Amino acid sequence: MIELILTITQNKHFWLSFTIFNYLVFELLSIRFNRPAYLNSTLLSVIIISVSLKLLDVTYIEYLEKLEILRFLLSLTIVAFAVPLYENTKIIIKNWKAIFATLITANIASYIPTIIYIKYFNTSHALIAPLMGKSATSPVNMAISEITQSNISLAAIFSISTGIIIAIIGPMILNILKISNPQSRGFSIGFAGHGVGCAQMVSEGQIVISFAVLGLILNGILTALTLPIILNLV
Amino acid sequence: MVLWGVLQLIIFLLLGMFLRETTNLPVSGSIIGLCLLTLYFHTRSKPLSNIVKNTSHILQSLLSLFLIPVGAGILFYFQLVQDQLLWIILLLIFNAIFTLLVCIYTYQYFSDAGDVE
Repeated sequence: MIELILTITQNKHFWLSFTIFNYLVFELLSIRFNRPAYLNSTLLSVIIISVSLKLLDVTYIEYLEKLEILRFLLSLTIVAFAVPLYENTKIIIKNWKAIFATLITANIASYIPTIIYIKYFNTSHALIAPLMGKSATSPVNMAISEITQSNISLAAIFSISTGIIIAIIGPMILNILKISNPQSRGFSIGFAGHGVGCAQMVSEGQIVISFAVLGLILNGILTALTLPIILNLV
Repeated sequence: MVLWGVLQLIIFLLLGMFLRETTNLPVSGSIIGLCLLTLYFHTRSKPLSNIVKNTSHILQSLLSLFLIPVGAGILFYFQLVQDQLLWIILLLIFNAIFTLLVCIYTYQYFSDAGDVE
């Protein structure tokens, strides 16, 4: 039996099929229960796959190599966000003041808890940049960590974890606070939860998703500009 | 004809990756590609074709699937910060909620000032 499992898992298409299977099962469950936040298909699939990789003694690098196609499609999806962004240009321009004010305030605010943490825990140099940039999308955080010779993998994981946290609790917080304005819902989740957050908001319509993408991009650009300055001051 | 839409996206992705390589910008090629494609749409006089719209919608609806491979590394890499793991998890949760609340209230405040359509 063990031999059979090992033979199946060694097939080059196994991990791709396993990932899609997990995603489908959790998506169907999520739809069945009216999409509750705790049934996040990304998070649950990530947990099952991480544990499976550990149990089957497969390294993360090996897994990533077999899922190159999904990573490529992720890059294509990011480019495809140009469509909602273009279609909602007029609404975005009309709300430029709120967007600009939120961008500056929230970007500065996102550094404060981490600065306090770094000072209190005397954190090692390799962790400072990845932790400080975690509110930005992972490519930006990774690029800044690379420049500052910090741990790039941790930068990616901190950013993605932040996204997952926002994807789970973000919509709940928005609903508790009775935020119904689609621009505000989208921009806040995109800013704080980047890619994973945007994915969670896809079901809320094109205005929400275009503002989420805008939040993701603008926060990424501003973090790339401000974080190197802040790192010099910390 | 979804493939035609996919091909257009691939062209802009490759352009973005090329620009990232040549300019060393701290932004991924896909984000540069997104900005370039948005600019391209603005320069055209024709409305967006349904092919591009449909391709974009299909990809967006599968975004959470595409994020799984990147997220699956969490268990592996969090072992690197085992000694501070609990505090880092608490920081990530607190920081995420704090940033989100600042975002929501700032946006609401300036929207209430009469800026939202």
